Amino acid sequence: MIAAPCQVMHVDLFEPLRGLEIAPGYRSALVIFWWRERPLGRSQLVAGEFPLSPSTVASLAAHAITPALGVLIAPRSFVAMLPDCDNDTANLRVIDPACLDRPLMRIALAGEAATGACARTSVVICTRERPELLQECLAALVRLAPAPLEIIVVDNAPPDGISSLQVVEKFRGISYVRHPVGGLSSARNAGLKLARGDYVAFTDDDAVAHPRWLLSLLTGLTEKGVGCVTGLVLPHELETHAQIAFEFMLGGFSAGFVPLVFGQKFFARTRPFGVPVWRIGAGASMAFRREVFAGVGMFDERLGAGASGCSEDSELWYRMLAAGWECRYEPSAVVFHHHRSSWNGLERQIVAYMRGHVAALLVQFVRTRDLGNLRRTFVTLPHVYFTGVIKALLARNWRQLRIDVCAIRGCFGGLRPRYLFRGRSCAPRQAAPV
Amino acid sequence: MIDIELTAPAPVPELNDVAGLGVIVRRCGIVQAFAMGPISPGESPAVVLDRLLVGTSETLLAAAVRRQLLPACQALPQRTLTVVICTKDRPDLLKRCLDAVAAVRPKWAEVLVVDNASRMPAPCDIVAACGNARYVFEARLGLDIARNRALAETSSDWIAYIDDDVVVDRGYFDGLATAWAENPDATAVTGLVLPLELETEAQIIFERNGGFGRGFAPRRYGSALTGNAFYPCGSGIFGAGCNMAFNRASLLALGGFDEALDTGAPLPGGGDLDIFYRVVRASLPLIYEPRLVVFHQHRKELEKLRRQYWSWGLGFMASVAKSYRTDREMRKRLRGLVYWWFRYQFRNLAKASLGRGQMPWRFVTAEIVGGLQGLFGEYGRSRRRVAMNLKESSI
Repeated sequence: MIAAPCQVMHVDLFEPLRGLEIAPGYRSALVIFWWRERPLGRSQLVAGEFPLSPSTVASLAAHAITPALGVLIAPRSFVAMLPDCDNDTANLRVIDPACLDRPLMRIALAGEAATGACARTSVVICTRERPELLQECLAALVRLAPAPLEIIVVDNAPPDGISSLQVVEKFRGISYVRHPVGGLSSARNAGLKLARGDYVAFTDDDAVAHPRWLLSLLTGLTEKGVGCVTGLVLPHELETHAQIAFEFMLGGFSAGFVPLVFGQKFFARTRPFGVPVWRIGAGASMAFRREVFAGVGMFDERLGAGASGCSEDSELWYRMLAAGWECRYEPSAVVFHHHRSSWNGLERQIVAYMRGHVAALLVQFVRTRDLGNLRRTFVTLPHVYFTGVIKALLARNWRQLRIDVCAIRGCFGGLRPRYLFRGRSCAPRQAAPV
Repeated sequence: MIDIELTAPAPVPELNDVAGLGVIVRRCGIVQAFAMGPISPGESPAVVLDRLLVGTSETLLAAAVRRQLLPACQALPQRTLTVVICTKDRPDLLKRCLDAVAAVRPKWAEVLVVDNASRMPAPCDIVAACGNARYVFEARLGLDIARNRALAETSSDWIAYIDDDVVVDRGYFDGLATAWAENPDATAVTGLVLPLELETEAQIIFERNGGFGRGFAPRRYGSALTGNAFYPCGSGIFGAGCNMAFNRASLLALGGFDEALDTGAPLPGGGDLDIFYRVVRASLPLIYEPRLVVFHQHRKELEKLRRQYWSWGLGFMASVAKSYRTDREMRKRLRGLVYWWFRYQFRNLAKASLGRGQMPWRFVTAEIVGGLQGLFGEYGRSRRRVAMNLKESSI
């Protein structure tokens, strides 16, 4: 694993190329390469490799961005990196020589077609007792260009309700609503009910949105049949071991730099094994068409932070796919996320994630009777963690072992029937689509 | 083997009586990618070519990105270069090598042939016939001795070493100039080695198992490398001795090549690994430049290839043993490297004996045997031999 602290650097390749230096005190670096507003790839480096000359930066960048760039400008010659999604990767062709002449110039930037849609979008942020983070989050949201129709802050079960409200009052034109019932799903549903826009975008209070975040999300969402678009979540900073472990050992939220399509092919192909809906994206960066909720229901209040732990977003995606909607992943919609900085916080988070994951699998099974969910719960996950623990023991990788043990605790937690039977579900029960 | 140019697509050549195809892809004359693969019966040449080219898309695109980000520096190098060819008893290869260099040699480069105690007098005549090349005779046997002799004989800023069994590409000198322009502080430059021909089974086995290939991405090696726990030990990643160039002053300051390595039997090999290791350990920048291309004639006979794998194991471990003696700080990493290497080789052996690996088990065994010899004292024995020879010759 790379050493903490790790500096997160951003390099825009549109600018003239310069050498790179690491700030004093950092022992490693994560360099993210952009072409204007579009992130294309990243490299990890140790401090000893710095300073980097411009030619080295060029080599690193070329290596890091080529897989994503290839898919963007020559989709018939490159394989999307995630298996099973709908992107067609069979019968690759020889790359068109025209693509090899100034290839970066061929990247189409996020379409201006979605500009109008932004004015019909509500942005919902659920927060709970984190005024400093909320302040940073809102400061980024008011800089969104073009601006959304409205920004709604849902204060989730506030003990005193003062601090978050004070933060919101610093900004003009942001609605604030107190929601007394705990749980992220419940708060999101409350935000949804208030939202007036045709599209609803969600982000978290610990995420900082890029100015083009909303526009990029909506570019895909305005297409027919697309019900949800998720975006790329990059680390805001990687100062501690816990943040680095989250980003690199657990995969963070990063789903890569290639746009992906999760449609019926994906759903059909992976159904026997438990559809990997969590690959679609992260709740910190997603936007929905409002009609979706009328059809498949809202977030399940048994799931999510404050209830089972998480996976309320992926469970909704599961219902959407089952109902015939398409989900997209669009990496040019970027938010920067503050990962938990303490190791204890990380362990709690892993427990919550796996608890939520297993609870969601059971909920999905009960809803759709897809046996793949049970297969994943009782065959795949035990196998993954059993071999994981053995490997970690053999390699004497104590950090990995602690992570695995937390995950196993979480899995057992998710099996408790109280998540399945507690409270009411917001969604109508559905029969499995044929 | 065929050579294709992307900017001027040529008709697909006729393929008769060939079992496979190796393709060198160029763009504006610069080598950009290499692919090889078998031809199934009844497949048309165009289909085969397409199939092979598909695999090169990523390499080609990465090169295109780099070209866009870093427009080529056109400035002529204000440096002088000596291309050194060390040879022994291979007049035909030497002639071919000299002809190739002469065809593309710019004004700032000269050629020096070091005749390493050839028993036949032929090299002298060949060099004389070629014009433009200098000839020196080194009576003491050993590749590193010949390389050091060349170092003493020249006064140019840079010195490039190529083996007599290679043919330089037409972009060789431009490649070196590019590396200099992008890295003015470079101390060593290594380059790409592609197969000259793939005629025999031995040559195909060798190339398919990695050959000398170090990829098509330029690299700059400094004092650390992400994701490599043993770095800078295990200097095989840096390049190969049949295509390398050094700043002469730096090389002299490092003390030149180790004459106890690369002596020919019983310790052929290891000299290049040792000098790369010393360059990087001295915190001097080592550049891998894929535009610096030579084509190497791989061993044609299986028996010779087996011997080459043996000598690789031997040379590698001898250079590790040497570093272990001289470099206390790195001992822990070197131990880790030795453990890793043997584990890797024995896994290969297990795979090969089950018939699954690409590499015949005889070659893996040869490499392991070489490795053991190198680890257990071959370097020390070689040092004593060289010292004795020196004493004898001075009497």
